[in-house]
This record gives sequence, C-alpha cells and structure tokens, in this order.
Amino acid sequence: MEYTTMLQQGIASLRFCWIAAVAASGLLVGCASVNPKPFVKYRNAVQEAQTSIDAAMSVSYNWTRSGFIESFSSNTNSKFTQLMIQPGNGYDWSLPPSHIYLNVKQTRSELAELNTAFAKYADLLAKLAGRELVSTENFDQLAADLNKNITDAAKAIGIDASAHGRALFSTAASEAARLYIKDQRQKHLIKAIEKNQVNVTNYSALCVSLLHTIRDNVKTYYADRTDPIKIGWNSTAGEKRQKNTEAMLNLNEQYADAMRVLQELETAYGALPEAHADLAKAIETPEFNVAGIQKLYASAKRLQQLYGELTKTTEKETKTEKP
Amino acid sequence: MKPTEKNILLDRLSVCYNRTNYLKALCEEQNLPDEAARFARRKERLKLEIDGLLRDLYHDWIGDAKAFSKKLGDSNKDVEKAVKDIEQNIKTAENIVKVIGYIDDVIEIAAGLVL
Repeated sequence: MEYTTMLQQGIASLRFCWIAAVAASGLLVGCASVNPKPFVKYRNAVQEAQTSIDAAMSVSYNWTRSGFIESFSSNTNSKFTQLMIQPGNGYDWSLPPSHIYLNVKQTRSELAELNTAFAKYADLLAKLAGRELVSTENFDQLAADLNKNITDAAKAIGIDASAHGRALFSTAASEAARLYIKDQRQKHLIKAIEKNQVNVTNYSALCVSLLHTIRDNVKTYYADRTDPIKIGWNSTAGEKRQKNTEAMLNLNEQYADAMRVLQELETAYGALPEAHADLAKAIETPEFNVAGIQKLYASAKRLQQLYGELTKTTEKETKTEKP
Repeated sequence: MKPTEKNILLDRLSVCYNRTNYLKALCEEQNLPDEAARFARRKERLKLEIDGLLRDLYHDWIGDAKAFSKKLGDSNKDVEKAVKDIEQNIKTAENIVKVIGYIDDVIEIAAGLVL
C-alpha cells in the first residue's frame, strides 16, 4: 500500500511538471500583441495601386497600338510583310520593325510579375500578423484537451483535484503556448520588415520611374490620337461633326483621367516605404500614430475612385473610337 | 544618360511634340500649308527621338524589374518560412497535448495495475 501511494505521488508530480514547464516557458515571454489592421490596410493599398497602374498601362498600350496602326497604314512606304511575325526556335519570335506598343506590352507583362511578387510579400505580412494564424479557437481547444487529460490523470491516480483548479491549470498552459507563439510571430514580423525595407524603397522607385515613362508615353500619343479625329472633323460640316467633337471630348476626358490616376499613383507608390517602416513601429509601440499608413490608405481610396472614372472614359472612348 | 535624365528629357520632348502638333493644326486652320508642312516635318523628327527614348526606357525598366522580381521572390521565401514556423509551433503545442494524453493513458493503465 505504501508503494502504491508513492507511485501515485510520483506520477502526479511528473504529470504536473510537464504542464508547469510549458506554462513557465510561455509566461516568461510576456503579453506581445500584434494589431493586424495596419497590415491589412497596407496590403489593400498595394492591391489598389497595382490595379490602377495596370489600367494606366492599358491606356498607354491602346494608344501606342492605335498610333502604330494609323501611322503604318497611312505610310506609303509600308509593306505588308513588315506585319508578319518571323517564328524562331522554340517559343521565340520577332516582328520587324519592332514598335513601341510591343515594348509597352512586354513592360506590362513584366510589371504584372513584379506586382505579383510584391503583392505576395504584402499578403504574407498580413498573414503573419493576422488573427487566423494564432487564433484563440486553437488554444481554447488546447485548453479543453489539457483539461480532459488532467481530469483523466487525476481520476486514475485517485487525486481529488477541484474542477476549478484543473481548468485554471489547463488554461494557463494553453495561454502560455499562445503567448510563446505570439512572441515568435512578432520577432519574425520585425525581422521581415527590417530586411525588406530596402526592397520596398527600390520597388517604389522602380514603379515611380515607370509612371513617368507611361505619363510621357500617353502625353505623346495623345497628339497622335487627335490626328484621325481632326481629319474626320475637317472633312465634315455642321451636325455631322458631332461625332468627331464627341470623340475629341472623350479622348480629352481619358487623357485627363489617366493623368489624375498617374499623379495619384505617384503619391501612393511614394508613400509605400514610409508606410512599410510604420508597420514595424506599430508592432514595437502599439499606440504609435501610423501616419504613413493613413496617408497611403487615403491615396489608395482616391485611386479606387479615379480608377473607376478612367475605366468609364476608356469604355466611352472605345465606343466612339472610329468617327 | 541615367534613366532619370532620360525621363526628364522625354517629358520635355513630349511637351514640345504636343505644341508642335497644336501649331501644325493651327496653321492648317489658318490655311498656311507651307508652315503646317514645316511643323509636320519637325513633329516627325521629334517622334523619332521620343520613340527611341521610350524604347530605351522600357527596355532598361524590364531589365531592372526582372532582376528585382527575383530578389523579391527570394525574400518572400524567408517570410513564407516564418509563417510555416508559426504554424509548426501551433502544431507542436497541439502535439504536446496529444503526447500528454498518451502518457495519461499509460498512467491510467499503470495505476490500475498497481491498485
């Protein structure tokens, strides 16, 4: 009988040592908490900027392509063979003479890849900061399982532990594990943000330089787009000019909308590095005023509206394209 | 010439191109065909310069973007690993509870044998 009591006490002490160790390791890390909202705002603003830059590139592509068609068709030296693709080895091909619209197309596809990589980064940050990753439900389940284990163990060794005491113990252990994981998450986030700050700055600079090129591309080809409308306008009179007048107004609206989108995009892309640095500050100091993120988010909201207007005027221009 | 300088030049040229286009249209409206033709020739010349600059800028940008996309992709792998680490940590915590459950079964059996 003495041996039985000793065994029971030994098992009981071993059993609670396990949980105590887990609890102690967790409680040492403190109550680190990450607010996911700035990360979600950052990700959403990045998505909005990316959608808008693609829309602006689409205007640039359509105008340069139309410009090519018009100048090629009206040039008496143009030859039909110059429009024929020369297939090369494997997937290679060439189209002499290479025109700007093909460069725009290639740039657009490269931009899509670059944007995918950056969107993935913003998304991973949001995931790492998100509530889903370290959900309370997971740890409530852990606490429930632990509680059951303790009850079974206590029953087996004949210890009369109170239900309240057992629940407190299992909650402490699962809470300890949760805090440990939260602390790990915070360290990973800060490390990722610090390591990628230079990448964000470079991404921002790369996109702003592309915006300047698109802006001047659109500006140049605006002049070319006016040519066929002008010819149509000059060749008609009276009410017949209405269609050309309307086409010119639509072209102007599209130009003005594209310029507004491009200008706002420059603000948004310019704000990316500061907002990114704010994410780290928001983790270290939860009460930190994330002005950089607010500025970026406000710009993304304006972009959303401007993008809608640009899409509408693009549709209108397509409808009245051929006067 | 640096890309930023090319961009500045392109901006100036595109403004000049639009003004030339406007003046050409104005001469046509005022029935000045010789002047309009002169502006048309300059417009064509400007277009060649602008297209050359645009081609260079897009080409340079594609090169920079390709290199940077790769760098960003590598960096994303590190962040992905961090997410997986956290998920693994949660699994570890769950596994600890499971293992404790198994030990409890052993305890139950052992206690039954002793009693």
